Amino acid sequence: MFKFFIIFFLLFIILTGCSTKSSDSLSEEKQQELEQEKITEDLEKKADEFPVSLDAAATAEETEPAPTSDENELKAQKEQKTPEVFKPEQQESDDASMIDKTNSGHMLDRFELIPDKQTPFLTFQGFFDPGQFHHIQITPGNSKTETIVILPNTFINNVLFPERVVTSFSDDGILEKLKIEEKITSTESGGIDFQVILSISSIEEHMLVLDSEKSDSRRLTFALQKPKKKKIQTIATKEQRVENVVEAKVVPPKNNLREAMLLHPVTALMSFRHFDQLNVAILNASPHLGGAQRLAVMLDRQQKRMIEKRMGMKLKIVNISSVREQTILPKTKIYFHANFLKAALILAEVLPGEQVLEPVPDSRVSNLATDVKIYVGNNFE
Amino acid sequence: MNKKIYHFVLAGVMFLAAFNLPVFAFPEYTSRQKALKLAGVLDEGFFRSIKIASVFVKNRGEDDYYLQAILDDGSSRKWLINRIREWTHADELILSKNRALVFPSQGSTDFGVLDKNEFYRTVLNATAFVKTFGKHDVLEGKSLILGVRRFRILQAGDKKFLTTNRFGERYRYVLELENGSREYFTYTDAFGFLQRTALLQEDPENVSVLRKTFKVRELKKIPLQKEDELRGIWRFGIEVVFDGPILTSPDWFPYQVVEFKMRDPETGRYKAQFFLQIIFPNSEKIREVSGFKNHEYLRYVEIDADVEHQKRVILRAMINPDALDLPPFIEITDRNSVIVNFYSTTDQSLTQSPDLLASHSAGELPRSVFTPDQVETEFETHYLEAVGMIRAAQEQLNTHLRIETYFKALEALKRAALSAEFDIQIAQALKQRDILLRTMPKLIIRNVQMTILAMQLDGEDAKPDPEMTEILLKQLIHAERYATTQDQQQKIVSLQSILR
Repeated sequence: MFKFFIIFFLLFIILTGCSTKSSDSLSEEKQQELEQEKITEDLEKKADEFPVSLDAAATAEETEPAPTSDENELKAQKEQKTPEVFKPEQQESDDASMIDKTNSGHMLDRFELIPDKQTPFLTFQGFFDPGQFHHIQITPGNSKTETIVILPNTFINNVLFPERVVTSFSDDGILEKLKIEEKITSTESGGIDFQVILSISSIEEHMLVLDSEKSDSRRLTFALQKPKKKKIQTIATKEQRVENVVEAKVVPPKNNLREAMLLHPVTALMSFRHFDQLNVAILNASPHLGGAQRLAVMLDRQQKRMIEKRMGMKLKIVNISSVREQTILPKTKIYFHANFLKAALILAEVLPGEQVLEPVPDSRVSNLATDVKIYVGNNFE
Repeated sequence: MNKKIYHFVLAGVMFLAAFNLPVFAFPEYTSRQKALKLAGVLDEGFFRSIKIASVFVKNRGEDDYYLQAILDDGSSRKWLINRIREWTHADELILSKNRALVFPSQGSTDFGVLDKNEFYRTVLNATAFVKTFGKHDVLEGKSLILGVRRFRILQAGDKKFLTTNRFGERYRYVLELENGSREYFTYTDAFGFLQRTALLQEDPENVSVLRKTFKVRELKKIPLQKEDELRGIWRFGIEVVFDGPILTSPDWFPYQVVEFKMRDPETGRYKAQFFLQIIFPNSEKIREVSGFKNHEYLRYVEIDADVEHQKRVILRAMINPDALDLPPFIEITDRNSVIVNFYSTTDQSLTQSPDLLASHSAGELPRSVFTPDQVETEFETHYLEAVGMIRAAQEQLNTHLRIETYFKALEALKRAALSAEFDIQIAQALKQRDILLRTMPKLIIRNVQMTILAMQLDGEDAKPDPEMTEILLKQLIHAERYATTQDQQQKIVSLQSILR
């Protein structure tokens, strides 16, 4: 019995040591203070050598006293794997953002300039990942009429889009020159970093804006907006100014005929396919572990036949997981694609607790493999 | 027995240790490339008021990199990425040149550097702010352009001073907007605003900047009326009248269905009740607006201020989920109002799309007859033309003209069927044709009857127009071919004899 008590005690110490790795505990502070005291003397001698180079780093490493359990592990690995120690080059640019570029990207096949008196559009066709549109950088160029667009994770389809400088624009159009540059560099880690830089020169000064409504997985559209003339300062009161704005004409985003048809519930009825299977994804957005799993079990084993009978469709759970982001929803949320409102209502009636049902937001409609997504909320027990 | 106790104790200890760890842990290590860049960013910064002399990159395994910092006091520290993130949140790690380190994606070591000076220059010159609604908001992904009144750095006494968001990031600034709302934001938010050009120095030309809220004046009932005579769909609505023009498009007014468990006063049991909610952003209810107890299948129709979000109102109505076959549809009128249309169907089989084995696929197929790419096919051109004509015909009060438009729609549907590329397309075109053919005999009989009656009312001497007679006879021939009942056949024969 005493043996087991010792094992228990040792285990407890090891585990407590592990858990302190990610917390700013007092013991670590004390250890660091001790470290400081011990290495100060050594480092003072080498203080003249700053900024430190590779050698200095190695020296600093040598001077690290009393390693923690973590560091012991580190050193053991060092011996086997010869870890790398780097001193980075000074970053001159402030643009030090590092966005993960390894997932997917865009491919430019061709471009088109859609003329319009008010707002011409520059559309690139090809394959795009709408999830990465927010990484696109639009910056002013060297002159007032030049704009630089950086499309990260982008390739050019060289077969369909061989030109790199296009100047053949109509005289009465807005564009003068379009320069396309593809940059592919291999990273030190062996990966590939690829991007396309567009340099757009116009005849007049303009503002280039990404038009997310006209951009999707097959096209990327920029609106070429004319800069607004500066307001003339008057002694007009605030109320008057507000009235002026109210009188301004609203130009709602233009939908094409197909989108307009799918938006209206009656005309949409005339265009939907019929499927005999409802694909459901269940994601855990609650602090309780296994929430999605429990809901899936409940739907699949206990209620499946009843739900299928009411919906007239087979119920298939295609995905069970948890949300990536640290999202905790107070109530279970059911997102449904167009034409699946009825099915979502039937699911909501069956599920315990209170649910919120919403159509899939426009920004997420690209995933067509799932008809209904259930985010299990905090209220699911 | 001892073995059992051992396992029990071991499990208990492991459970306790696991319980101590956060569920959503931020990564401790990063890639080599990111670590190198991060080290460069941290150089010359301050850690707990001590200047950072130098930062190095070290690795634990092949892909796990972390930083080793040497401070001006001579100490050397191992810096894991999650700790760096925590220190930036608590202002323990401060970058040089008035910059701030931000980690925009939760759970990823992607980082950015906010140049605060650049941000201040941008925000102080901004006249409009593009507010984009975040994840799981009913307005997710939508943006409103709001006029900026004032930018401030949060100070002691401000509402959210020293408070943090759900990721532990401290609120730093507040943007007061002209519609009366306030946007509190962190360094990461500020970084995001610069990235997506959310702060506009000049008003955009094609979209209106909202400088004041829409104030609700009243609610009106729109009575039940026929929406689609071919499918037996009826429409009714609620008109929400505001104090001024609605400067947004209909898709800014989304809907949601919310379930509430309410105690039944008779049985004492909890019963699920469903409420349909239409959300109006940038809106206010500043006075009492009376609702309705009943309107068709809606119960307890009322408009209320949203208690969770600034400057939002909600049109709410209790519904029976079995009655809700079609989603609501929003229309913006030119009389300062928004109409929320609701639909009811009598024959639900008509709303079902054709059930074809060919379309039974679990793959990633579009849910509509249209092809996923945006290129309009020949089928789509003809099909959209037909649907457009069917819809236009129903708004036509003159029955004769309506029938003629239906004939044109039948032609368009034939062209669509002939150019179809998939079974579902041809099936859908033929289905629409059949619905038209089923309804047209009845319409034609009524039209001929009414025309004859009108002629009789004009006087016995009035001679029928030969051209019109010919058209009516042609219509009757068509009706005769597709008449479904004996009664219709008899009526057609009788009308043909009268016309001849």
